This record gives sequence, C-alpha cells and structure tokens, in this order.
Amino acid sequence: MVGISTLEKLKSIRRGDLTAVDHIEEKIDEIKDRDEGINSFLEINQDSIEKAKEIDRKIEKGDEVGKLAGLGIGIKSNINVKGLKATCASKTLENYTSTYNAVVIERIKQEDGIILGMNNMDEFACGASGETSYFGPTKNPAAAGKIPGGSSSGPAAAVASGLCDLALGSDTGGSIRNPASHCGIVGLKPTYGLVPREGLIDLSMSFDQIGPLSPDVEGAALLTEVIAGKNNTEGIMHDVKSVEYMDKINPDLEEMKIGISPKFRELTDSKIMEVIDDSIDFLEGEGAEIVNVDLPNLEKAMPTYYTILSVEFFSATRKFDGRKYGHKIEDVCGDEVLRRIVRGKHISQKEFKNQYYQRALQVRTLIKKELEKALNETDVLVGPTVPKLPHDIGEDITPSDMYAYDYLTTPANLGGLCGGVVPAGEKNGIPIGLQIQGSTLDEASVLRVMKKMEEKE
Amino acid sequence: MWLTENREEKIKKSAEEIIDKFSEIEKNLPTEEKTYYLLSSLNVLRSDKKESSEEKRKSFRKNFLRIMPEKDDEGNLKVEVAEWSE
Repeated sequence: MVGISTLEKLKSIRRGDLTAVDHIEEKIDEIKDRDEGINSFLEINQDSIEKAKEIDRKIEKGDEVGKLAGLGIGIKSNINVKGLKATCASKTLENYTSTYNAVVIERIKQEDGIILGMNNMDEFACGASGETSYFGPTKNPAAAGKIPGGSSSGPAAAVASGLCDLALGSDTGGSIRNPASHCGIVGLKPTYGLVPREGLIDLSMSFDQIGPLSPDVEGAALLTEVIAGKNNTEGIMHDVKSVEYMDKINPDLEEMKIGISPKFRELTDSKIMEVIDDSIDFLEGEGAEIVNVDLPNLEKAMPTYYTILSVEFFSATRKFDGRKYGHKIEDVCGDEVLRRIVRGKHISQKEFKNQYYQRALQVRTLIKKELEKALNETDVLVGPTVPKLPHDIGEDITPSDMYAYDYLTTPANLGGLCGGVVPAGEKNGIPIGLQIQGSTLDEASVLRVMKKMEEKE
Repeated sequence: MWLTENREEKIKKSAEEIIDKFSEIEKNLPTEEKTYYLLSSLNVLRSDKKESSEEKRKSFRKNFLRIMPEKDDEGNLKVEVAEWSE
C-alpha cells in the first residue's frame, strides 16, 4: 500500500531519478482522486509545487539539500502553517487562516520538506475514533468500515493510504499511537518537552506533544530528528539542542531488557493479546531478555488523565470567545468538546476542596514513579497500544467506551515518557500495533525495538 | 447548540461519569507531591524573540485583519462589549 521506503524515496529524489515536482504532483493528483473516500485532507497547499521546483533547481545545480528534500508531508489541523487553515476540524475555527508557522513547520521547511496540506482530525483533538470532525469522519484505509482511530485520524489515514510520505500529529493521551495502531503504520510520541509546541493549538498544555506518523521506522526517526530540540522562547523544554537517531537504530537486541506487565493482559482483549504475545516471542527469539514488571496502578491513569485534561482544556478554550477570530466555541462545537468544557468548568468550580484536580496531580506523580521504577529495571516496556479492536464507523458508543481506548496510552503522557507504535500483525483483517514505551529522552531504544519489529513477518 | 436544555443536561450527566470514576479510584491511594509540570527546569527567564521586521509586522497585521469577525470603517477590530461590563 505504501510502496518504497522513505529513505529510498529520498535517495531517488537526491539522485534525480525522481524529480520533487513529479513526486509532489503525483501526491496531489492522488489526494484529488482518492481522498474523497478517505477524508484525510481538509486543505491542499497550493504552494507545494513551487517549493518542489525550488528543490529540483537546487539538486540540478548540485547544491546541498535538506534531510527531507522533496518529501510530501501532511499536517494535523491543530498545527499552524502560515496561509493554511488551522481549523482543529471545528466550526469554531472554520475560517481561521494561520498568520504564522509553528516552530516545527519552520524546521521542516528548513530541511526542504514540502507541506502537502492540512489533515482531518477529531474536533480539537477530542476523540479516539476520528469521527468527531466538523468536516466528517476519516475512513480507515487499512480496515474498511472501521474507525481509523484518533485524534490524529487524518495524518494516520493519509500515510496509510500513501497520500503523503510522512505526517505530523499530536499526542495528548494517545492521539498519534492509537491511529497508528488501527491504520497499520508507525507513530512516535516523543518525550514531553523534546519537540517545540509553539504554534500547536493546545488541548492540554501539560500533556500535548507533536510527533511523526510514517509508513516506516526510519521515516519516523528522520522526521523526529528534524523537529526535535530546544526552542529558546518556550517555557517547558528539555535542554537538548538536537537529536540523532539514524545511526542508533541498528536492530540489535542483544543485552536489551524488555519489560512486560500482567496489567496489559488484564486490560486487553484476548484477540489483541495473541498478536502481542507473538511479537514478544519474536523479540525474545531475537535476543532480548523479557522481564516482568509491576505497574500496580496502571488502570488508574485514564480517569486521572481525563480529570487533569478537562481542567486544562477548559482553560485553553477560553480564548475561543469569537471576538478576535472564529466563533464562540460553546455555540458551535460538537458533543465531546462540550463535554470536556463542561467537565473542566465543573471541576474548576469544585476545586476549593482540592477534591479533583489537585488530587489528580498527586495520582499523576504516583503513576509516573511506578513507570520510572519499571523502566529503571528494563530498557523499554512492550505491550498493546489499544485494549480493544476498533468499532464500526458510526456505531453508537458511550463516552466511557470511547475513553476506554486510552487505557494503555495515557500512562506515557502522565509520565512524560516516549512511546512508539509499530505494526505487529492483524486480527480479522484489522491491523494491531505494538506499543514500545521508553524512559525520558530514550527514543533511541524505542526506535531500536521498532526497527527490529519491521523484520517480523 | 450550547443553549439547548436537553443537550446540556445530557452532556453534564455524561461529563460527570469520569469524575465519579476518578473519585472512586483515588480513595485508597497514598498522598504524593503534585506534578504540575513534567520538567523541573521551567524556563521562566527565557529571552524574547528578536523583533520582527517592519515588513513582517505589516504582513502579520494584514493577515490577522483578514480573519477577524468584524471591523470598523478604518479597518480596526470591532468586538462586542463584554456582558459583565454592561
């Protein structure tokens, strides 16, 4: 479905075997031809061909080109790209054209990546299914009739269907990893504070992190290298100037300790666990040592996450009052966005008793400590990404059932850890992704295991 | 949409379910420090960005004015008076 590897594509453009213009024109034609049935793009960047011409001229002259030269990149619609609409897939911002570039966009452009357009998503990143967009649901190109997952539904579906080479999503409680799993592609949530958030329309400032979606592990590693590193005008970032992964993802698992928790099995559908167990056997067979770890409060991460998130989301959305731009959010938003605003307001009003938010910040500490302890005993934690198979698009499920998709992804956000997803197999024709979680700033170990998984048949 | 009573009631009820769930799970957990920020190195003294060029500022203003909901005859942003000030 996704053709040649990202690195082969890059080499081909650099050698001049494939011009950037031909490549980008083909992508745009494919979006026009095929995306009506997928709904992964909300807007195409009309300047992309001009940018491709610039890159071809550089290559013809023998000038040096950037790390992403000629690749077409889709951008989730909550990241500002100057001149394109950052709607957050909401009526609230349906006419909002970005007046500036997010820092990650500036970095992609500096490395000659080509912004193909803006991708669909769950409204204001509130959703785990890709169904809550004001512009209609995104379809799953890898499992017909099933949800693609969310909230980065558009970036995942666009990569899975080959409509773009790479994409940027954001992950607050699993929004990169969940759709990567359902769509059968690679996704990486970098460590909190490794990638600049300036220019991301925030859902929850203490959890949000921008990261890549890619058809392969090297593509995800490359895009992370480009976007990661300290931005001096941000308040909360790791003191890391830049990162290099490409020479560290040699898939040698000797001396690697992989942690697994019985909690993963307790929370997860047995059909999914069959595929995960098979992957763990494969990794053990390739030389990794499998170690049992204790995560006694793992299932408490999800309700803790939603308590903190709702307060931060309520605060973040107060700027959408319809005065300077857009519409007042409460007048036009969908049910899930309104639910989170109402909940955040309710918790904030009750907060004089320190009953919910302040207490949730304590539980976050507890879960963070437990994850850190487990990762002190091992190099990475490996398990399922989502606890259940995706439902049919349009199926009526309760908010609680929707939140249940997040049981296994929210812990990494509470702990500020990194986590990657790589295809592990299929069940009833539905892709299942393996989640690999790593310590703060240890993306290299996560990517190593992901790279090894690409060898699994 | 916000003002529909039925919708608001239904949303309120479902919004509270997860809070009830949280109240249930936190009961027997120990007291811990609160984690507001995941990083202790809060860069509060960060330097400002360099001032943009006159041309960039003009272009930003032009683009911003294009997306604002209402403007007066001179092209200035026009907003409704806040309810609390009336």
